[in-house]
Amino acid sequence: MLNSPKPARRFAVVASLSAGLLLSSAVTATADEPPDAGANTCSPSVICSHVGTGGSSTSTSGTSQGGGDTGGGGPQLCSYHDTQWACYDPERGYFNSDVGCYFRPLDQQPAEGDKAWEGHKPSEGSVYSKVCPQTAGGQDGLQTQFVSNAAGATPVINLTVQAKLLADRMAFPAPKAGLAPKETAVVKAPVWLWAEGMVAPKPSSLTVPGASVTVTAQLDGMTWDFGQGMTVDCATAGTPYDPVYKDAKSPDCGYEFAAGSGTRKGGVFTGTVTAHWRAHVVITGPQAKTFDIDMPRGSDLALKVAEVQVLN
Amino acid sequence: MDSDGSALEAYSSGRALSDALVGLRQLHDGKLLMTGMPRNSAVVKAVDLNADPQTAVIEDCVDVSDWHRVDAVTRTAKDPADRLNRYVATASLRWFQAHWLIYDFKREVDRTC
Repeated sequence: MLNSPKPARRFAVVASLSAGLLLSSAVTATADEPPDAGANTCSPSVICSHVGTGGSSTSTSGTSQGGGDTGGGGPQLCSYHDTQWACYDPERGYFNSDVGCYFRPLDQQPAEGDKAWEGHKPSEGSVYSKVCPQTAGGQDGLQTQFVSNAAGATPVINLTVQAKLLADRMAFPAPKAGLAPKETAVVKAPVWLWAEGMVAPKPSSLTVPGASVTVTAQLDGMTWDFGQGMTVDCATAGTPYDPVYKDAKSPDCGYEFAAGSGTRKGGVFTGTVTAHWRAHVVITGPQAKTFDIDMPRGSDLALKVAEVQVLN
Repeated sequence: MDSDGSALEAYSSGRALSDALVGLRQLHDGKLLMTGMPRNSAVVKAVDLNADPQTAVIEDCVDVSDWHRVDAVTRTAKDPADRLNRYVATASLRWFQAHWLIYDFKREVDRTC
């Protein structure tokens, strides 16, 4: 033990950060979401008398929120009792649709013997924060829950749901069609097909105590569709054409048109090129499994193909 | 709003951090702000430099009488009915990467000061 005036001053500064400055950054908070859940509940906890005492349900049975914010581009939503909640929330953690609460492992676990362990040893599991937005539980302050990491135990974070979330957040690129020859293609002559910008996004992962999910991007081939049954499947993104190849065929992705595009609208074949991206998911821990999620990305293409080569 | 909590994470962790983040979120959802300033009167109660990590315990008189919850737009008072003014709190700290981190913040709301 040691108690000298100098460190005391430093501690005082830090302590004020806990009660005050930690939350006074909320002074700059702006609001862009509808619910008024906070108005009827006591927050932040540092000004409330009943936080942490449990019980005392003051929250409104708020089923009015959600619903309206399903607009495109928003976060992926999980559902509980007909109300939708973001499956992941930066502050609350990961939504559990079975119980309607957010969970996240405390980044620093309590000391052994702390009542948050609910009588368990730290080796037996982890302590998670629990926020239940639809009920008093959590709105009145933070709750914790011990989560066992024993085999067969039910995890509070559904890693299958989170895998889809991770996959949705990965930037799978849409193909940019490369075609050669671009302006002078003719029937019964090699056309090279390749897609540019096909850089796989970096793997994405989430680790919780005793389990993890990792999502890796894989390209499972391309489909070039020029309409009217003219479809080419390629195992790769293709090889960009270079004039040094002259009249050679593409080594991995090419096509020879049997008919010209002269009778088509605008005189060109129009269609789509689709990159068959796949999110390969590996979940470890009690619920270990492996599966794939299809994440196709497509774009339009157009190519003019002349009926005959004009020779002098 | 500090939604990723990056600044908070420099000063707190564990339950104290989660609690602060949840509080911020509830203010945000309720379109509320805090105005004024809380005051602290901290006293170091214990330091254990032999522990690994090193630990410290601070007892504080938290005075939130000049720190109020208001509507973010109209700035009208929105203090909760059961709000506190002054109470004793105990902060537990750990030495981590060259600074002290608050990992727990226990309030004794029945003890005024």
